[in-house]
Amino acid sequence: MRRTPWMVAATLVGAATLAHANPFFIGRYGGLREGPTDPGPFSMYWNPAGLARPGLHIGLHLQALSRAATYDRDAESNGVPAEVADANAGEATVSAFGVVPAVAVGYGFEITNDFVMGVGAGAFVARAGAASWDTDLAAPEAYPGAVDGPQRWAAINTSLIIFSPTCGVGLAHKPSGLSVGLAPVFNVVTLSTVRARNPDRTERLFDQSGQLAEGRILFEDGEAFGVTLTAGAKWQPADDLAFAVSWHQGATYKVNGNAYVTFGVAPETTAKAQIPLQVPDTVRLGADIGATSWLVVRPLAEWTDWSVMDRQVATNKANGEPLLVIERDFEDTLAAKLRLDFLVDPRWIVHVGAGYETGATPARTHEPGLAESDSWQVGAGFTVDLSESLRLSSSYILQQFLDVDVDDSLQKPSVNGHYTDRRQYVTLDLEILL
Amino acid sequence: MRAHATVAALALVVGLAGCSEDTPRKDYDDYRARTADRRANACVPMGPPESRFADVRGRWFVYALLATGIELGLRVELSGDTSEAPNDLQARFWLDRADPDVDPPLTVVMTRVHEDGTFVLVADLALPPELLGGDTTVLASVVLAVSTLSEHAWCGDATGNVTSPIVIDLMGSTFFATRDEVDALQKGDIPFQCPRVECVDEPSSDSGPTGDGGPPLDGGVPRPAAPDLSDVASTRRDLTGHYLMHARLAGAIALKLWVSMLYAEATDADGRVAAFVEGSLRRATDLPGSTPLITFSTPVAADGRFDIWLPGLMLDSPLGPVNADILLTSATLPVGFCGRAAGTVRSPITLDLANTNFAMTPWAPGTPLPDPLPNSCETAMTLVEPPPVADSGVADSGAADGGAADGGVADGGSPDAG
Repeated sequence: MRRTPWMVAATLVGAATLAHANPFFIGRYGGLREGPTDPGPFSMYWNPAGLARPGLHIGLHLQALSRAATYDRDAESNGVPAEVADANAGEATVSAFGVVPAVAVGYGFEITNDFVMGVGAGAFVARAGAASWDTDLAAPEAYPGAVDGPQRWAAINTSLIIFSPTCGVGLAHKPSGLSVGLAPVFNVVTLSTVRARNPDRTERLFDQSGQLAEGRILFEDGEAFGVTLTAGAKWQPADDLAFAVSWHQGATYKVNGNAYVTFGVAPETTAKAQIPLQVPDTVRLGADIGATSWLVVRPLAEWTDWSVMDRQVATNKANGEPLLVIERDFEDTLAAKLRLDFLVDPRWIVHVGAGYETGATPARTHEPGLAESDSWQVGAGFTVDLSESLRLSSSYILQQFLDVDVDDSLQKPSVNGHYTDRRQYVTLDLEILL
Repeated sequence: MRAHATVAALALVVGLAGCSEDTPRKDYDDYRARTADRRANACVPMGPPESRFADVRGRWFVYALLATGIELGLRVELSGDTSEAPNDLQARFWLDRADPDVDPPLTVVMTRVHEDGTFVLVADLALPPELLGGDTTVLASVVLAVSTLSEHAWCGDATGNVTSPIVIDLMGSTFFATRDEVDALQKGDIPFQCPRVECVDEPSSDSGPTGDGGPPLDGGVPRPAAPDLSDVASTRRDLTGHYLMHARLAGAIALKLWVSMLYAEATDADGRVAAFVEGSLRRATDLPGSTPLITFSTPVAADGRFDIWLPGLMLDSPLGPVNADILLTSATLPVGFCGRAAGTVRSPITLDLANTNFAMTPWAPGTPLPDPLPNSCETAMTLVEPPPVADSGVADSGAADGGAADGGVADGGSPDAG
């Protein structure tokens, strides 16, 4: 079935008006095959309506990701005195590399001539963040905190993982091509983070007596648990035409952990602490449009309700008083992506893709920790049928965030300056069809 | 299930941070390890100086430095019916920004001043968020163990706890109080601790800034040998007051600074009198209440001689920041004091401060410069009474004749190459 150009254009325009940009979102299951129309095992994540497919499907996913970001803390706009500029201003860098696996299994069967049911289970780490800013070995020895870099007042080292075991069910009505699915997601959140901190939210290094004033606050062993839902629908009126929508429910996790505080030369103090972690709702739209016999056009669109994250306040559980306040003022995000699948051979598919995502973080609350600006991405990949029951896919995706200049920071201490961020993803997906 | 899932999650994310050992905990522990010496060697007075009874009724300004690095200014009014010991007094507390004549006190407590002048003030304070730049009201239960130095000054150690938002032990906090019947003093105008008669792990003389005490800020600056001042007669006396320091560093950089001094004496168990000065340096153009460039504390010998060690002194100048390590060896004169300096100017030019002379002339901050304005012991010794102010030239005019005579820019402590 050949699509007319206007149909493709209309779909693209529609997609472009929606969006996606997700701080600490690393889900790239299937690489460039991603999206709510994905019929593979990782429909478990993207859209459980895709589970309603006969047979046993096993998906093994491995993602290698790297990040390279910089933050140049400007001395003047942050009010850093010249004598401590070496300690509280200048460029900080962070680079990270990680490998994240995921697994999904689905089994579908006909329950009547008209209906197919599928069930599945999987385990993902769709959202995670790990940033350990590079130490500044050239920092003046006189300032013992400076080795953690000039960004340390906002972030030194953070590890956040949301591990999501999932199960789901899908049901397809073959005559209409309509399928629906629902998946409860069991999210386990772990969070640890450390930053420099003074009780008066200044970046003072020494007090009036010349004694150490700079401190640290560590939030460790933070854990939370919550069940969310993923629901989706897919309509496939023809073999080469499909439309799908999925909804990933958000949640606000109350992450409970231990706070360790060292202020100046005072003895260390500890407290049970709680910090909220808002994860937004996400709605994804996608379409598979067979434009020619050798080209499938796949527009994707995403909206994420990031405005739920207005601020994060870590509180002392003993008295409810705030220990740490981080302004966020996040904005809802939109993203539009376009994927092109070239069927170059009965066994081979070449994927190319591009996209643009708006950032959740306004400049005034941008900071070296949790913040993302607008970004564009490009990628390329392939899928090859190794046998009738074995399919291999691989993709490379480059995500480049637009540089951000901040001169009106709301954070305390302020984090005005220049930010850069680039991330790269390489995915490897093995699909077993039995 | 939760714990197992967490472990599974961590196991799944293999090397997400690039290195499994590079954890927030490790960075936190590393910082504590790097600063362990600074905590262990923090100068904590081992006990109060010799206390003596005095009538302490009246209004006081208290400047406290809490162990968390928080500076706290309080106004305290002590009132009672008698001046004799033991003296039961009522203490009313206000924040330094409050007007005790108008505003209600934060808290009112009772105390008894004992025969030796010691007394204890226990105050539960609610410090509003804006005071500390934080997000919540800070609740603190502070115990001030007071030693009376004179009828004009008391000081001591503060203990207790911040109780909210998080419990913090205030052990190691200090305070100093001086009479302020007109509520004019601000934080930084007076010392924040007793004269240091005893101190655990007193930093060595070659450790760095904070005047004559505290840990090094610069990794350790060698203290130079004190210049010979034996040719200058000196007699110990109360040096409390404000002075204008006039010097010409190495004959090249004209320097004028505002020096505030508070003199105190304490008698030890053997009846020996130990004298100290606590002081602060500001630019001559700074306004009262402004943050000092540096503070210092030093003992005064029986003949009135004392050294002020100012490592890492930073000043602005038209040539850029001036960074110097200066030792001021001083002799007490009938009017003001004077001396010779040693040390090094490190930037913007490197200068050995040998043969540098200076003089400290009594002065009221914010008023025109004294005239004459000596810059050495030789010229200062000729003063028999505080000099009158000059008719022309003000402290911040940059045209004071003393500076001009030096060929430098006397713009309130902004040195210039002469």
